[in-house]
Amino acid sequence: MRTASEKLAEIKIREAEIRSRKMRRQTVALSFLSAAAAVLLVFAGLKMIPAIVGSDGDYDMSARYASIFSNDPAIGFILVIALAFALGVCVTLLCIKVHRHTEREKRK
Amino acid sequence: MISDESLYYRYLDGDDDALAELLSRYDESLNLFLFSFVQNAEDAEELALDAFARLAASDKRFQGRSSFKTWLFAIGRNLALQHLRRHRINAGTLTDEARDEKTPDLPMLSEERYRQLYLAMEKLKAEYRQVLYLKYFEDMTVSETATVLKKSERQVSDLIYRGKQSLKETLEKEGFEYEDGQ
Repeated sequence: MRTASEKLAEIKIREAEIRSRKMRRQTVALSFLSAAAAVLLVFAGLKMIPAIVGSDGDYDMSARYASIFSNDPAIGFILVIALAFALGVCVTLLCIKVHRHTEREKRK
Repeated sequence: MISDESLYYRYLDGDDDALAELLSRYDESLNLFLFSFVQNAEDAEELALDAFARLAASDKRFQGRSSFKTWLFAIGRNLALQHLRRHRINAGTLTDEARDEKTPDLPMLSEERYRQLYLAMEKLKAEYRQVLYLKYFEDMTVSETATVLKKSERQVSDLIYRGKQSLKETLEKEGFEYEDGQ
């Protein structure tokens, strides 16, 4: 049987393992979400290129943002705004997680 | 005396002594409770440490819906059931390999009366054993026992009644005198 101090040390080790597992899981999930949002944004951006670089003087991009999903320009705007917001949230959460992790490591 | 909840918050704020105090308060009783599931002193000790580690790593701060002790024992119970599932052991019918006949050697059982009672409880069905342990060794109310074991209060009351009957028979078989109401 372990002594009280051995038990305490063991609990601290296991606590650190649980925290690092949790941190890894959350980081993977957030990275995945960020990547997905980024890919979708790139898609939406690529759809805009012909309008931007086109030489016919047609700069009406509103109907091009999300034309893979719908022809309605309003949906395009909403989609891009939602994706940009989701990406922003994911990146912010990721930064907070990394910051907290660094702080915890420093305290140790 | 500082409450368990205050100690827990102090630990979360970085006071390691608070965890040591919580450990000294509940290590033994949690060990005995978990032993009633796994019937193996070493496994019970490991699971008790896991329960404390889970609690220490918990981001959800204690919400006060039940007492700290109830929360700790409920975490312990979940871990014990996971352990039994992982090792494909039925809580009611432990195999000889899984069963370690030795009862944990803890100061709480140093008093002969408690030791005999605990040994007699070892012979009962697992659910009787668990419910009687919480009620009589840990002085938990029916409601607290129900929270730990995730059962309704009615079920717990029934289990206590049937457990007491079963314990009475066991004690009588072993030549002990049993007074109703104790």
